[in-house]
Amino acid sequence: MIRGERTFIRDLVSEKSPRWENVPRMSCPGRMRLSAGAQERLASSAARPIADAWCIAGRLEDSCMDRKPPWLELLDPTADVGLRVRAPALKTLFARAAWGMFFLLTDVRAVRPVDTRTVHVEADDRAALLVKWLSELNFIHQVERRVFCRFVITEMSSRSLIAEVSGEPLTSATNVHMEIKAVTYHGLSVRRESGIWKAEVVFDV
Amino acid sequence: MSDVGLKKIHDFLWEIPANGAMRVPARIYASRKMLADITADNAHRQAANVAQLPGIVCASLAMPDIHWGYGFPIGGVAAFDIDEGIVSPGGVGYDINCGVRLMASILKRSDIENVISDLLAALFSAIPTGIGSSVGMKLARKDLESLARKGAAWAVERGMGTQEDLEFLEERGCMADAGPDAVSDRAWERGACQIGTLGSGNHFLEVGYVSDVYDERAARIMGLDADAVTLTIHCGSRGFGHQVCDDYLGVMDRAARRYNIALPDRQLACAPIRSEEGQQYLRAMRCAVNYAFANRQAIAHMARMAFSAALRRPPADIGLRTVYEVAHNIAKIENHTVDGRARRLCVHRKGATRAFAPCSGELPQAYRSAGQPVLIPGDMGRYSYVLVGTERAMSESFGSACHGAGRRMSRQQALKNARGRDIARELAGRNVVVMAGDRRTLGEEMPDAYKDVADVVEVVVQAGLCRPVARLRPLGCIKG
Repeated sequence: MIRGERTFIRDLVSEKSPRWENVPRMSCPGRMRLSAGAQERLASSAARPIADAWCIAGRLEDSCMDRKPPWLELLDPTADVGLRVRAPALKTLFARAAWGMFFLLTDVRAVRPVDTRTVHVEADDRAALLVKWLSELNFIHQVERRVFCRFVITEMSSRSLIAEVSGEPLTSATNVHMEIKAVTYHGLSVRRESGIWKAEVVFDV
Repeated sequence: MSDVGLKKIHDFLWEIPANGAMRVPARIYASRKMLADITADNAHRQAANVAQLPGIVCASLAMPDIHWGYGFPIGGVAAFDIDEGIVSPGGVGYDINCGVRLMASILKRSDIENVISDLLAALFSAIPTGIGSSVGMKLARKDLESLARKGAAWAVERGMGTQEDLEFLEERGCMADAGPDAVSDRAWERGACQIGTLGSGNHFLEVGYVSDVYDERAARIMGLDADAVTLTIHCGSRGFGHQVCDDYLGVMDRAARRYNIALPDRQLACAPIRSEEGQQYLRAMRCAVNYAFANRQAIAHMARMAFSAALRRPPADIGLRTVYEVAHNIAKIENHTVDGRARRLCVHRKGATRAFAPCSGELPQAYRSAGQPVLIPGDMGRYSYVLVGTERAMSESFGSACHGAGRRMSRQQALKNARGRDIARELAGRNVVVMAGDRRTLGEEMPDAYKDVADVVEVVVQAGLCRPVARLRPLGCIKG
């Protein structure tokens, strides 16, 4: 957010009478590739350009979907998105599922493990535990505005899990690609096949 | 009867007759050409599953924008007897009271065409969008509880909008009997800093104009003159509503077992309306409904400020007023006449819009001769529609109609399709300026990813559920 915008919104919420004159004057940057006329008008105006992070013009080339690790597959329900994860051990499976969720949410490889916290969740069974675990991380992500990149499961049973998760606060430079409304029970599975642990989970986005 | 068990009632209505555990038939409003998509998605099976739930009245209905959802299909309408029926969070959806507000101004298209990019920038700057968007401050619990009881009036009390706005909102922007005590701490926390934010996914703000008028009289009543500049707001109850739904899915899962309700799909989890769990969910859901009303009211107000800032004119010279606001993810207790008998029903609309006929006491006085405006947004490159509800909707679909275009491609298909393309530039070529927090969002939400909303609207009009009033075309769009 730029200064001005934040003040304006705070005024709104704090019952101060907001004034339209206070809305920061801004305009689209030239990179928006508007018509020549619009470009000219923008060039001649004293309007402030919007931060580059907000500029969405340009080709969609690298959707980061290309660089997913071999143990991660994306499921493709029409309006939502899901993950299929494989791992040699159950703890790794849960850690990878969390990494996969943040892979969907942000450029997870760019997140730095600045600080670490402990997360503890409990559930009735192993599949529900996966939903609880991912829901907890999504909750912290949304409420505390943080992103995570490293997940170490320190203790685990079929009904509870303790993990050390590392990440950093969201900044204006963090790319967040989507918002997960909820981790669902639809098509949920956690199972072992031929010595390999597999999990599937769908997110409502 | 076709091989998927659909029997034709007429060209725009198909039925799966009650069979097996179905208590009533499932009826789907669609054209023949839409059926392939609907059945490929298995959404018709979901409509049939809903028909198995206790207390369901008449039929499990689906609108032409039906697609697969969690348990209940999106585009589904199901009404349950208030004494014998159930209420289900899955029948409302995660984004409780996701809805659409249409505003119209005294400006004409020519007044803003040259400044549309400035206007979009001002809107983008004033209204936080996108992921985890937040106003950068936290509301105290007591303010949030007050908001959850008062809905849009909470925002108006704080100088965001006018009493006149409230007159033109479904439920006047507030559902009574909201119960803050039924809402979890987690929901309060998720909702604390998201009021006045648009959210992500398919939520948007769109500046457009009235391009076609089909019903002069109704359009005049709504102030939708040809070329008038409009603003459409599509968003919901944000993390607050998502958490309420999530919390009660767990509660209902246990309740369904406790009340011995046989469920063909666990995600149809529900409880009797009269049960403790059913009542608690309804009270919590109404808090989320009111949160969404307040959210759209705050956004509408910030949009007025942004219009003024961009055009350097005071709000009175722009005259951006609320035409109407509809909720399309909601459960409400309503009175309907079924087989000549007055019934009190709990109507679930999940991705479906209320479409009440003229003369309904629920409508603002000004619209009683025209009928309830039904707002059907399309994708960001084409057009949106304003319709009105009819008597036929009252007698056939519990006063309900469709809610939008519906996706044609999954998000990943859309991204694949968008690779190598510059969607913002393509839309600029169609004279639509777009802004989004993230380039990927634009790829996922590009026009080709959606069905043509005109096809959906044609079905509800041909089936007699709605009458067309006007068509709006976009000039600029902000995607969350």
